[in-house]
Amino acid sequence: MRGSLRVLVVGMAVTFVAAACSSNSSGGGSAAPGQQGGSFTYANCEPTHLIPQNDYESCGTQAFQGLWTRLVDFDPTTYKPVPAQADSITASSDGLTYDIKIKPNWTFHNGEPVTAQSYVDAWNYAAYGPNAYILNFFFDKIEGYDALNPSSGTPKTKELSGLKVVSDTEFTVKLTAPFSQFEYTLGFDAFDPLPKAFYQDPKAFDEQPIGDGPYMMDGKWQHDQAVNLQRYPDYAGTPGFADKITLAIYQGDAAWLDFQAGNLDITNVGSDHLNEARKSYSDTLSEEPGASLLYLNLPLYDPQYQNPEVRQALSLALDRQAVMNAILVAEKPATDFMPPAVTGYREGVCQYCQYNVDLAKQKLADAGGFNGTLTLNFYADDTTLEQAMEAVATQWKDNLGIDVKLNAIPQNTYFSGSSPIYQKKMTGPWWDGWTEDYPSIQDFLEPIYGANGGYNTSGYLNKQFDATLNQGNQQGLEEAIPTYQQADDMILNDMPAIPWGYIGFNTVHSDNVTNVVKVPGLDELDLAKVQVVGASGASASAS
Amino acid sequence: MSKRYLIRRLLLVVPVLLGTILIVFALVFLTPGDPVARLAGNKPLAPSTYNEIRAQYHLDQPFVEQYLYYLDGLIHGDLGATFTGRDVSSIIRERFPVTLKLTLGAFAIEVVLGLILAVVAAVKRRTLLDSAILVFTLFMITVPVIVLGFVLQYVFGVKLHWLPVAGIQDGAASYILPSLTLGLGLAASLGRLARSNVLDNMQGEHIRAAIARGLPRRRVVGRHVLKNSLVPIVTILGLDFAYLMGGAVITETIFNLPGLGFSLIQGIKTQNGPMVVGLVTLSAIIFVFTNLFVDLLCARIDPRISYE
Repeated sequence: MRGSLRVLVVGMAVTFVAAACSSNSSGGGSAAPGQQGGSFTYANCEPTHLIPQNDYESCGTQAFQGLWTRLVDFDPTTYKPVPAQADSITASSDGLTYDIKIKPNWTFHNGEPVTAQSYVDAWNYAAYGPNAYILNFFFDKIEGYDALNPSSGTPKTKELSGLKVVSDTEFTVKLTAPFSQFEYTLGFDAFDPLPKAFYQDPKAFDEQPIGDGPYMMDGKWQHDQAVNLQRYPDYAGTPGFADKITLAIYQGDAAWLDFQAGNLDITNVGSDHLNEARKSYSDTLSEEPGASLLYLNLPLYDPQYQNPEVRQALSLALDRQAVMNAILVAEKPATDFMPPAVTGYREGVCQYCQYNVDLAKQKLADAGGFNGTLTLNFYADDTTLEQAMEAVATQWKDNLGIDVKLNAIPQNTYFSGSSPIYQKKMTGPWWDGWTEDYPSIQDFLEPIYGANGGYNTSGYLNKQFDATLNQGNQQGLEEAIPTYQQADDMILNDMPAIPWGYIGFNTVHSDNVTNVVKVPGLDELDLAKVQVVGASGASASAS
Repeated sequence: MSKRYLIRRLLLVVPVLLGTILIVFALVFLTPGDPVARLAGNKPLAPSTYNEIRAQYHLDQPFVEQYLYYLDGLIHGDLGATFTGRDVSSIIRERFPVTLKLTLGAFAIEVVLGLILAVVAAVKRRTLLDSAILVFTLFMITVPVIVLGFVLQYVFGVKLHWLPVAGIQDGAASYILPSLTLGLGLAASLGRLARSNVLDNMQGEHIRAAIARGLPRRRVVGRHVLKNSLVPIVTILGLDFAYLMGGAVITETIFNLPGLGFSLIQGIKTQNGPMVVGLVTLSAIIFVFTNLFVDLLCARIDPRISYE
C-alpha cells in the first residue's frame, strides 16, 4: 500500500515541478546574526520513544538533538569527537579505562544538577538486560556487561562493574578490551544522562522527557502530531536561537507538499524530491554528506562468489552514476566503503567502484566466467529501488553477459531473524545499507566484515583484516585511523561487498529561517543554530 | 420487532467477535518475519534484549497461549501494547476521534450530494442534466482515491492556499479536503444506485395515481418516491459508514491524518498482533452495530419488513 503510494508521489511531484517553483518567494530578508527569538517548524516523524536509551531511529534522535547535550559532538571537518557536555575524556595508556570529566553546574530541565551519577545510573539502567532497552548492546564493551545480561536467569547485579563514580563531575569507565574509538561512541544518545525523575516513572518520562539540552519539552509529546520544544532558560551551554520549535510529525509524504504550501519552515529532501528541489529551491537547498552507505552485499558462502575477481568484475560492470542520474536511489556513487562524513574516509580509493567494462570483462574471464543465473535480491514494495535493481541487472547482462533474475523479498522478512540473510542462505547479491552509529571508519569495517562483526552476514573472513582492526582498536583514538585505513585497503581489494552510493542529508527551508545546518557527523539538524528571521530580538536590532 | 429478536442479535455479537479475534490473531501470527529482530533494523540487537522483549509480549509462547493471553487481557480491559510499549487502547482513544470526524465529513458529503444527484438525475431523466450527472458520477467512481486526494491537496492546499495541506492542527478545516476525497466517490456511487431506484419507484402505479390526482410533483417525489427508495439506500449507507469507520488508509496517509487506518497499516507492518486485532475488532463491532441499526431503521421505514 505504502509502496504504491510512493510511486505516485514521485510521479505527481515531477508533473508539478514547473508549477511549483514560482510560489512562496516573496518576503524575508537577512537575519541579524546572533538574535534570539521566534519559532519555526521542522518536519519530523513519529519517534518510537523519547527515552534516549530506548530509541534507535532518526525520528527520536532528532528530538534528542535538542533535548539533550551529548558527552561529545563531532568536528565539522575531521569528524573527530570534541567534548560537549563532557569537559575532558582521557584514555589510560593501556586503552582500557576512560576517565570522563563533565562540565560542572549543568542542570536538567527540572533543575536537578547533572552529575556523574546521572550518567552512571542511566547507563546501568540501559545495560540491565531485563529492562529490554533497545540500545542495551551499546554497553557490551563495558566491564560487567555479561553479568547484567546472562544467557539465562535474572542478573544478580544491577550495576556495571566497569563504572565508577569519582566525584560529582567525574567517573571512570573500564572496558573489557581496549577500544580506541570508544570516545566516538559517546556521541550516541545511548550515553545521555537521565534525571532521577526518570526512574520514578519511565512511562510518564517517555511522554514528557527531561533532558539537559538547549531545548525542553513544551507540553507533552502529541503522538503522531508534534513534539513541541521551548528554549531552556537555564541552559549552561551555548543557548539556542529560536524561542520555540515544533517538530511536526508526518507519517507519509505530506511534508514535502506542506513545505511547498508554505506551512513548514524546514524539511528534509529525500531522493524522491531531490531533482525537484534542485530546480525549485536551489537558493535554500543544502546537500550535505550523510551517514549511510548503500551497497550490494554478497553471499561469500556461495562458491560462485568466492573468487575476488568475480566480485571485482560485478562491481566494475556497474555504471552507478547513470543509474543515479535516471533513478536516484542514492545520490553519489560510492568511492570507498564508508560515506564522506566519517573520520578516515578517503575519496576515490575504491578502484573497483569505477565503471570499467573492459576491465570487468577481463576480470570475469580470468576468474573463469559466471555459471548459470545470478539472483539479485532486494526488498519489495519500493518501486524506485526495483527500477534501480532492474538497471543493475541490465548492466550485468549487457556488460558481462550474466543472466540476472530479480527476487523481491517482502520487507517483513528481509531483516527478520529467519531471513536468508541471517541464515546465510542468500541465493545471490542483496541490497543492503549501513547507517553509522558514530562517524569513525571503524564502524563501517568491523561490524560488517570483522570475524565477530555483529552484521557480518556475507561470511567474510580475513585473518589479516581482523588482526589489523584489532591493532587499530588497541591504538590511540587518532593513530588508529591509518591502521583502520590499512584494513579498508584490504577489503577495497577483496571486495567482499559492492559499495553502491551515498545518501546526503538534504534540507530546504523557508524565508522565515536562516542558518539551517546539519550536526557534524550525524544525520540530524542542529536545532539550536537555526535563526528565525524577524524574530523579536532580530527586528529590534535591525531597526 | 420483538425484544427477543433484539437480544438474539446482540448475543450474536459475541461469537462474531470471538471469531474475528481468532482469525485475525492467527493471520498476524502466521505472517512470516520476526517483528522483534526488526526493531533495530539490520543492527544486532543484544540477545538479552531480544529474549526479554519476546518474553514480555509472549512471543516465545505457542499460538494458543498467545491467544489466551490476549483474551485474558481483553477481559480485564487490556488491549495489549505495541512493540514500542504504547497501549493499544490509548492509541485507539487518540486516533478514533480523527477517523470519526473524517467519517462524518465524508458521510455527510455522500448523503447530501449523493441524494441530490440521484433525485435530480431521476426527475430530469434523459435530459442534458441527467447525462452531465452520469458523466460526473462515472468520473468520480473511476478516479482512484489516491489521485483525487493528491489533486485536491495540490490545487486547494499547495496552489490556492484555501485549505490545510496536511495534519489536523487547523481544526475542522483540516477535514474538508480528506472528506471530499473520500466522500465524492461514495456520493457518486450512491447517486447512480439511488437514481435507478428512484426511477423504478417512479414507474409505480401509486405514483402515477398520485400525479394523476394532481399532487404537486415535489411532494410526490419527496414523500412517495423517496420513502419507498429508502430501504436499499439506507442499507448501502450503513455499509459505507461502517467501511469508513474502519479507517481510510490512503486518505489518511495523503493528508497526514493520525486516524485508525494508518495505525492498522503500521500494526500490520510491524506485525503487532494486539494492534491489528484491536483495530479489526473495533471495526467489526462498528460493523455489527451499524448493521443492526440499519435493520431496525429499515423495519421502521417499511412496516412490511419484520423480524421475529
